[in-house]
Amino acid sequence: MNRAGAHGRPVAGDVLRLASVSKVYGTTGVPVTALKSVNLSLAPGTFTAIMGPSGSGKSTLLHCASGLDQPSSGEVYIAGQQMTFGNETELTRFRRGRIGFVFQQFNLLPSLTVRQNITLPSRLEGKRVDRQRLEAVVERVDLLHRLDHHPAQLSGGEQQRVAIARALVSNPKIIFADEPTGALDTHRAAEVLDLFDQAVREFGQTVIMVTHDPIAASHADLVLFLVDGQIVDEMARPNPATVAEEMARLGEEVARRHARSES
Amino acid sequence: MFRLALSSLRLRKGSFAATFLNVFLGATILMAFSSLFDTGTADGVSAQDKKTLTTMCYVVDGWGVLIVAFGIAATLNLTVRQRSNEIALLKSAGAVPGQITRMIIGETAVVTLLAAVLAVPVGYLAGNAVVETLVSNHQVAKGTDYEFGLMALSMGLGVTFLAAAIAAYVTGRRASTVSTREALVTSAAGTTKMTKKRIGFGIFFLLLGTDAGVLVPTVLKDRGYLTMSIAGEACIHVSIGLALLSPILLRIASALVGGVVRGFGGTPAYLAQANIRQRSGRMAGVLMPIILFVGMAAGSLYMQVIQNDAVSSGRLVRSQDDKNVETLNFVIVSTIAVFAAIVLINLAVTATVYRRREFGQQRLIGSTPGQVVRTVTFESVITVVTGLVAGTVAALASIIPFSLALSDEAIPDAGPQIYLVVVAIVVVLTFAANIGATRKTLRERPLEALAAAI
Ligand SMILES: Nc1ncnc2c1ncn2[C@@H]1O[C@H](COP(=O)(O)OP(=O)(O)O)[C@@H](O)[C@H]1O
Ligand SMILES: [Mg+2]
Repeated sequence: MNRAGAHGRPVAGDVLRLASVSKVYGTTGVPVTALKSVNLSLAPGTFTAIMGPSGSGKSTLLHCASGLDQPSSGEVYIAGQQMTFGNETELTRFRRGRIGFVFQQFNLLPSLTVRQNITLPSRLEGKRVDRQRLEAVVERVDLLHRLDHHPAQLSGGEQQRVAIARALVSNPKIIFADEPTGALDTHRAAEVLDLFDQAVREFGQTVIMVTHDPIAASHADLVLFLVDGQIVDEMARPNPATVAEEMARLGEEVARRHARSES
Repeated sequence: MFRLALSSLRLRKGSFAATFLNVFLGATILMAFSSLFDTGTADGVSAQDKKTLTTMCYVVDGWGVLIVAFGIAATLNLTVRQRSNEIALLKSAGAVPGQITRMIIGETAVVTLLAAVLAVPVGYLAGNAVVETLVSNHQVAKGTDYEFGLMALSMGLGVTFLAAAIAAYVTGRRASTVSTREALVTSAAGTTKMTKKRIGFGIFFLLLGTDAGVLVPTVLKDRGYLTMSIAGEACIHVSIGLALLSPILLRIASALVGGVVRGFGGTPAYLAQANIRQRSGRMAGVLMPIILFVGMAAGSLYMQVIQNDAVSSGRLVRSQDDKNVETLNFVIVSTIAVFAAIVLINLAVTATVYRRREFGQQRLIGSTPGQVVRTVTFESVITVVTGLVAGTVAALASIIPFSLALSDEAIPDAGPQIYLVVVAIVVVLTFAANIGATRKTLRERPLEALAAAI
C-alpha cells in the first residue's frame, strides 16, 4: 500500500524515494506528528498528485522530500543519492539542479524582474543561463511580454506562471508543487496543469503536486491519499469523479475517527 | 483604535524598540544640555558663566533638535513602511484613513511618552556630569549649583513630543492615503519615488550650505567664534541636503560601482544591485546617520585642528571663549556622533531583520546562507561608499572655508588620521550591524522565516 508509483520498474531507477520518513513538530509543548513513517518511491517521468484533508501532512511531505525541511527520522533519496540534512550550504548545493519547488505563495523576489527571477536559480548555481531553454519556457508560460515587469505588477496567475517557469528553466529532475493552482481561476489552473503535463511528457521531468482539486489531480498518473500523516490509499489513472468520491469517503472516515477519539 | 495600537505595540517589539531608543537618547541629550540653561540662569551665577552655559545649551539644542527630529522621522518612516502590508489589509478590512493615522499616532504616543519620561532621570544625571566637567576644567566657577528645571523639561519633553507627533502625522497620513492596491503593490516592490518636495528641500539645504561656505573665508573672516560656527553650519546644511537626496545618490553609486562590483562579486553582487535599484528609498535610510556622522565628526575635529594650528603658529590669539568653544566642539561631536551611531545601528538592524522573509525566499530557491550574507555585504559596500563620499563632501564644506579663512590654504596640513578613524568607525558599525543582523536571521530555517515574517 505505501509503495507507490513504481509500476514494476526497478527501485534503483527511482527518482525519489522516502524510507520511513517521520516528522514531529514542536520540541516544546505538545508535539504534533505530521508524518508517520512514510514510504514512497516515484519513477522518473511520472506525474503524481497528493491529496488529503487539510492538516494531513501534505505540505510537510513535500518539504521533507525536497530538503526544505529536515525529517525527524527516515531517509530521503533523490535519484539514488541520499539527502544529508547536516549543513544548509551542502543541502542547497545538493538541491540545485535536482529539485525545483513551486510554492502556493509564489515566493518571487520583489526587487527582481520576471526575467531575473526566472534565471536566478541558474545564476546562484553559477551556471550560464540556457537562452534557448529560457525562451522556450517563457514562450510556453506566455510571459514574453512580461519579462521586464516586476512581480508586484503581475496578477496571481502570472506570478504563478513565473514561479513555474523558474522551476522549469533550471531543468531539475523533480518539481514539487504545493497547491500551485490554489490561488488561480479554473482557466489559469488548466494552463498551469498543462505546463506540468508538458514537463513530464516532453522534458521527462518528474512532478509531484499537492492539490485539493479533483480535476487537477486527474492530470496525474497516480493520486496518493494522505490522512493523519500516512498514505492510506492510491489511485492510478484517476478521473475527477472517482477522485472526488474517494475524497468524500476519506473525509467521512476522518470525521468518524476524530469523533471516536474525542468520546 | 487605541486598543489596536496597544496590541500592535506588543506584536512589534523590535521596531518599536528602535523608536523607543531613538526618542530616549534624543530626549536625554536635549534635557542634559537644556539643564545648562537652567543652571546658567539661576541666581548667583556670574555673567561669564551664564554665557558659557547658555551658549552650550543653544548650540547643542540647535543641532540636537534637528538630529533628534531626523532620527525619529527616519525610524518611524521605516517602521511604518515595513507595515504597509498590514495597513493595506486593515484598509481592505474597512479601516478609513483617519483610523490608520490615529492608530500610528496612538502607537507613537505610547512609545514616545514612555521613552521621554524614562529619559528624565538619565538626562538629569548626564547634565550634572557636564556641569561637573566644566567646573573641573575651570570653565565655570567652583560651587555652581546644578539646576534641572523648566528649560530642561520643556525642551526634552516638548521637542521630542513635537518631533514624534509631526513625524507620526506625516508618515501616518502618507500610509493611509495611498490606495489599498497601491499599498500592496509598493510594499511588495518596495519602490517609492522621491517627492518633488523632498528634492526641492535637498537642493535648498545644499544652497544654504554653499552660501555659508562662501561667507566664511570672505565676509566672516577673522570673526572668532562666529567664523567657526558658520563653517559648522555649512557642514550641517550640506549633510541634510545630501541626506534628503540620498536615494538618488545611492542609485547613482549603484550604477557606477555596480559594474565593478559585479565583475568580481557574481550573483550576490547582481542581487545587491537589483535590490538597491528597486529600493533606494528604503536603503537610503542608513545614509542619513552615516552622512551626519562623517560630516559632523570629521568636520568639527578638523576645524579644531585648523584652529589650534593657527593659535600655535601665532596667527590667532587664544581667548577664554576659544577654550570654551573647543570643549563645546568635543562635547557636540561626541554626543551627536554617539547618537548618529546608535541611529545607524538601529536603522540597519531594523531594516535587515525585516528582510528575513526575503532572505528565506532567496534560500528556498537555491541561495546558500553564504550567498545571502554576500548579497548584504555588497549592498553595505555600496551604501557605505555612498555615505562616506557624501559625508566627506559635507565635512569639506566646513573644512575648506574655515581653512581658507584661517590659513589661506584650502586643505589643512592636518594628516589623514582623524579622517581614517571616522571612516573606520562607520565601516565597522555598518558592516557589523548589517551582517550581524543578517546572520541572526539565517539561524532560522528558511521555512520558519517565511512562516514567522508575515
Ligand atoms: N511549523 C510547524 N510547527 C508545528 N506544527 C506544524 C508546523 N507545520 C505544520 N504543522 C502541523 O503539522 C500538521 C500537518 O501540516 P501540513 O503539512 O501543513 O498539512 P497540510 O499541508 O496537509 O494541510 C498539521 O497538524 C499542522 O498543524
Ligand atoms: Mg499545506
